[in-house]
Formats: sequence, C-alpha cells, structure tokens
Amino acid sequence: MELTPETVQYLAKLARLEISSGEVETLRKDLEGILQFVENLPAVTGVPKAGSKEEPLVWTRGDEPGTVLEAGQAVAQAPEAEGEFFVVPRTLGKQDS
Amino acid sequence: MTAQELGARGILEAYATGSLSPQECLEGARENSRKQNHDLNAFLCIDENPSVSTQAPGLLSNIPIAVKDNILVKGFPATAGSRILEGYRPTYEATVVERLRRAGGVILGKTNLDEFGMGSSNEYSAFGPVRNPWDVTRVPGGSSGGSAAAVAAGCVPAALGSDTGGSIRQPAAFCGIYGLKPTYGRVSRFGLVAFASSLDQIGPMARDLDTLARVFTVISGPDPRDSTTKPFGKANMMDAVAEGLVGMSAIRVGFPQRLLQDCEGEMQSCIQSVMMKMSGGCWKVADIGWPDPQQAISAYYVLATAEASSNLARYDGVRYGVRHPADSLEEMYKKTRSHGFGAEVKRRILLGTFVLSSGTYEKYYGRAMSAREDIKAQFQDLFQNSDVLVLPTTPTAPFPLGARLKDPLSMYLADTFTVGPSLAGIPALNVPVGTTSEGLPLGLQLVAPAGGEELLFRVAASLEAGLGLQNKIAGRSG
Repeated sequence: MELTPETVQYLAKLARLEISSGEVETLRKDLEGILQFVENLPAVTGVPKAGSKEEPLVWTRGDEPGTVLEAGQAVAQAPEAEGEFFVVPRTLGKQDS
Repeated sequence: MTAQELGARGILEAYATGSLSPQECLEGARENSRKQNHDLNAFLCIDENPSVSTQAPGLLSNIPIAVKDNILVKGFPATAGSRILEGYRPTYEATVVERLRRAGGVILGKTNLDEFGMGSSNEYSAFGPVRNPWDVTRVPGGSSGGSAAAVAAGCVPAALGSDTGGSIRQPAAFCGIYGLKPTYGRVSRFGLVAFASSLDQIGPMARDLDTLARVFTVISGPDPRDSTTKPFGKANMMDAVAEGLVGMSAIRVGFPQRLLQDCEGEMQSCIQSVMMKMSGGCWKVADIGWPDPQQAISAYYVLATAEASSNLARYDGVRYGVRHPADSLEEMYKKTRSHGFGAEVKRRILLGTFVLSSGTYEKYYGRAMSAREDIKAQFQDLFQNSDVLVLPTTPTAPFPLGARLKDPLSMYLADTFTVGPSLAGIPALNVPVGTTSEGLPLGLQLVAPAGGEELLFRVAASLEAGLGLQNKIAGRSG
C-alpha cells in the first residue's frame, strides 16, 4: 500500500490533527512500512463474527436510576467552564459568518 | 530482610509481631521511592503523606501499592503519560482502586507509562523514559514500565498495570517480576483511561506469587459499572499458590517449541533448561503449534489503533486536560490535540483512522476482526489437548534505551508473543525464570483458557518451587 503525502494530510484532517510539512514525510514512511507489514492479513472465511455466538459481548443493566456524576463534578476539570456549562470558542453568531 | 524486600505476607507478619509499624512501612516506602526515582523515573507522583488505612483488616492492610497513571485514583493527578491530560485530577475513582482501599491497601503513588499505554519500552512517555532497575542503560519494557520498575526496585511490593497487547507481561519479563493479564472481563475497567477497549485489562504486578494472588483476589469480580465484566466464580488465589500442583494429577503442558527459533540465544537456552527441569513429575509436556505470530501482530495493530483513534477522539480541549487557545472550535480541537499528543500517539491515531476509512475498512479492519476470531478458535483447539501453554514472554532480554525508537515496527515486534492471548481474551502470566550472562531478566509466559487464573497460579507455584525462584530486588549496574 503506497501512501501519498496528501493522504497523510487528509487522515490528519479527519483525526483533527495538525501535521507540519516536515512531519508529513516521516509519518508517511512510518505508516507505509506498518501497512506493508499488516497487509499479510489473509481474507479468513468461515469464521463467525464476534458477538454472533450465544454469549453476548456485554450485558445491559436494569432500567433503574443509578449514581451519576453531578453536573458540577463533570465540569470541574474543564479548561473553561461557567456554572454547569463547558465553554468553547463561539461557533454561531460571528460577524464574518 | 528489610521491609522493602518483603512481600505482602511478610509485611503483615511483621505488623502482627510488632517488628514493623504501618507508619514505618509506608514512610519507608515513600523515602525509598523518592530516592530511587532520581535514577528510575518510575513514579510520576508520590504521596508525601501516605496515611495508615482506617479499613477493617483485609488482605492488603497497609500494604503500599503503586498504580499506573492511566488508572484513576482520587487525590492524585492522572496524566496517562500525556501532556494533554497534564493537570487533570479525577473526580471519581477506578473500581480496582476502591477495592484495593477496601482491602486496606494504601496507594503510594502513580507510575510512569508510555503515553496512553502505547509503547513497549516506556520511552513514549511525555514525562521521560523509565529506566530498568537491573541496568539503567536499558528499557524496563512497556507500557507498564513504571509499575514494573517500582516493584523490581523494591519501592513497593505490588503495583497495578494495564495490558492491551502485552503491557503488563512484557515489562514484568524485562524487570524480573510476576505480572498477570487477567481474562478479559474478569477485572473492571471502570476508571481506566481507555486505549483499545476490547483488549484493555488491568492486572497485578509483584515480586512474589502470594502478593500477586492477593491483589488479583481483591480487584477481580463483576462490576455494575463495567458491562464487559462477568462472574468467573469465587477467587481466592492465595490457596492456589500455597497448594501449587500438590495432590493434583499430571497437567498437560503445551510448549510451542518452534517459537524459540525467533528468540535470542540466551532466551532459547533459558526456556529449554526450564522445560527440561519441569518435564516429568506433574508436567506432561507436548510440542504444539501456535497461532502465526505475524498474523497476530498485524491483527492486533489494526484493531488496537482503530479503537484508539476512536477512544482518543474525546481529548478535544473541552471537558478535561489542557486547551490550546484558538479563535474557532475546529482550530482549538486541532491545536489542542497536535500540541497535546506525542509522536507515537499521533502515528497510531492516523493508522487507526486509515484502517477505519471507507475503501480500506474491509481490507484491514474487516480482515483483522476475522483473524482475531480465527486466533480465538486456534487457542480453543490448543486447549483441547493442553491444560496450560508455556512460551517465552519476549523474544529478547531488555534492549538498550533508544535502540528501537527510530523504527516503530521493530518496537511493535517486542509484543510478538503476548498479543495472541490478548486477542483471544485469555489470561497469561509472566514468571521471572532466569537471567542472561549479563544479569538481565528473562521471563516465561503461562497461558490458560478463559477464567483459568487459578491454574496459572498453581502452575506458577510449581515453577517457583521447582526452580527455587526467590523474591529478589533488582541489583543495579551500568
């Protein structure tokens, strides 16, 4: 699998990462090497998919109220908060939008 | 014997006879940890005033325990080895930590790790590498390298680690201690910073089997807050350790001899010598096959990076950790993540994003999922004729710091023998069985079917007795 610098930049965009032009080539080589290694994965047939057997992967709890984090606790570690709300840069109502 | 050399049982006996007080033990552990941390960098944080437990006497009453810094402990920061969580102090506590405290355990500090558990040498921590206490020019393994080094150096008798593809067993092997990756679902992951949720498991690390058994007994069991936990029956592993295989009929030991070809010479001779000593008696050894290690590594790195790319989407500068200021939300996400994550984490997020992308999903993720089911089926077949499987934990002894940093793939291959049991969700235990001519630790891995931890403890006890293994503190050189 050959990776282009444009693909690396596109992946970075999807993952919300900024990659400098200097980093692109190193990452491209690293990822290409790893992908070449994992390309040996055979197309296995006749294997049941995970969770398809009788035993489910997870159980569900009863529909009963339990203990949850209070809103104040939930925002306590936020970089910026007001009362019970997280604060982020303005996304609506900008003059230039 | 000094307090630092004792296991949990020895410490409890010393308390009972009055030759050691809990306060002395905890303060001694704090001082020793502080002192050793200058050389080892094993701890990211040490409690300045460890308090004597107020719980009723339990299996771990006033035993100092270190906890990997991707497990949430109230009153301590939790960085997961990443700049992006610098300054974060959890508002809740992991189930395993609640259980340790209820059993009387005292959390002494948080240990260093590869960022978010992604690494096999502990060199990918944002807070500097951990050094191996047996030779400070070498890596301690990873990602639970801080926990392994802290235990091996005698700072604490036990620590918690987490294992996704070998992150408890491989550093345990490199540091000459015991380390158990439990059956998937046997120990709660509530309060563990998620890396790859279908693989992550918390487990104990210790210098002696009784201490390992105590910690496992305390932390295991279903948890209403983790819906992947299941009941596996009552666990009292100390009895299994005390009894070993005495009184049991012979056990069938499967040994994939072919894997030794992929190991360094001294590892080969060490494992062969162990098998020679243990064959006969209770061990009935048979040569067996093993799921193709290259296929297992490939499936593992596709699945783990896919899950990581999804799990790490939560670090966006909004809810916790650091935020990089920016004018727009999109820019804030990008700058926060780009400044907060290290190179290996970015590499894995990009790889995970790629294998989950439309157009590549089936070729990589789909095939890796099928390969995982195939590997599980192969282990089920192996356990038709074997009760327990035995193989090296790693192909090599601990390697020098920096030796594999420039080649990510060579670092991934350090997990060659550990990822198979991870993909199958079955338990595996590192036993420190020997050393190289340079005095570097070598480890052997025991693997059992799901829920087979009791057998692992029994077989490990037979190894301990058969080989005369002792609770040893690392003697440093280099």
